[in-house]
Amino acid sequence: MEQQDIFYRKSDYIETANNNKVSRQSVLCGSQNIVLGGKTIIQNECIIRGDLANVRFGRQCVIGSKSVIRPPFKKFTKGVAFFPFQMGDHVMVGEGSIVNAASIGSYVNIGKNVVIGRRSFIKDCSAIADNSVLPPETVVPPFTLWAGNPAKIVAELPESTQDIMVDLTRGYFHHFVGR
Amino acid sequence: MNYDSLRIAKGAVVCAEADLRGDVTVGASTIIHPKVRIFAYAGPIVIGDGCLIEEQTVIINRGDMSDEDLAKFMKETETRPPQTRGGRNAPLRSLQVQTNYVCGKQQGETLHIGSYNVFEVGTHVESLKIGSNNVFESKCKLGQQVTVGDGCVVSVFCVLDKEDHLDNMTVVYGPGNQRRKQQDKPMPQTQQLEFLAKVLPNFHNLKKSNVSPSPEPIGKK
Repeated sequence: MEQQDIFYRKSDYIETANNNKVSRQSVLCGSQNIVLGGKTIIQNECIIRGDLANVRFGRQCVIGSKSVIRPPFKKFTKGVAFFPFQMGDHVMVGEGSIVNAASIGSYVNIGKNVVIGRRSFIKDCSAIADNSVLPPETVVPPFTLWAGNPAKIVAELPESTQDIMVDLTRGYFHHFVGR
Repeated sequence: MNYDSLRIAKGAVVCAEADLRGDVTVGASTIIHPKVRIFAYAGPIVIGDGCLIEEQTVIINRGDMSDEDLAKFMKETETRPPQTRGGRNAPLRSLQVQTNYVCGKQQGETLHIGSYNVFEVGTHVESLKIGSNNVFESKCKLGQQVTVGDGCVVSVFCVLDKEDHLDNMTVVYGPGNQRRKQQDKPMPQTQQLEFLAKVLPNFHNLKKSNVSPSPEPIGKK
């Protein structure tokens, strides 16, 4: 199926030198701690908490509207800290998702309205279905699909997941057109 | 819009990007993250000490506001005008969205929130009476008819919209709002509060505190 063009008002988005497209309606706290890899789209009303810890995005990620990306909090025997957050390349995050993970690999598809618990690790080529709740400190292995509340593995993903995600995010970027 | 009735105790950190309207009282060392909406529409809101209120949380004293009006009100206050050029935040005043609903005009019942509560990202609270040491996890919803005791946990996505009372130490969890009791109170997040109180002022404009801490902790009855 050919993806339809998604139009946005050019005045609503800031385009950086690396072709990142960041909505003016999004909230990037502590923007000096946020790194966008390039060709990443951050849609309106996203909240990205760079003030708590460093946040790194890879290339060609899509962060859906109203989603929240916040580095996870962790208590140690002495002192407390927020973990730096990393995200690989070609990651899709759906609308209204709350991402509290410590790291997200590449080619990951996160659905809409998902809550990802504190300090989870999401490995490459995995997927989380819409409306699921990933409990805190979960490790999501590669090539697995998780769904439910609390989320469990429901299926395995094909070996072509990487290519599918590359096509998906590339296509999305291509069809995300300003006018 | 009237900000005179906003009372923030010393030591509280309230980000300027949070939207507080009407007669709101915030206790000492409470942390309010950006993009929080607290609307004292039908009556005052009193928040105790050491609460942690994360982004996208809505706390509203809605009184007899209908669901339709509430949805409209939420929509109106959801967005804010685009930032000014250069990625800088627009001046504080322009962040406040005009609405047809004026907060703090009616003198209804007060919404009381105790001390050391944690409201995680995206909670929606209308409940008029909330005790202390509770944890409200992401995207849970508490209706107006709900009262909450002390040390309760309301889990992710749980919706309590009927008349209800949560006894002390109740845990509400899972898709079917199942309940059980827990033995210990959830740990107060004092370390996190201290950390945030140190870090947030480096990155955000804050709403000024204007009340020195009262000898009696606010919100305790």
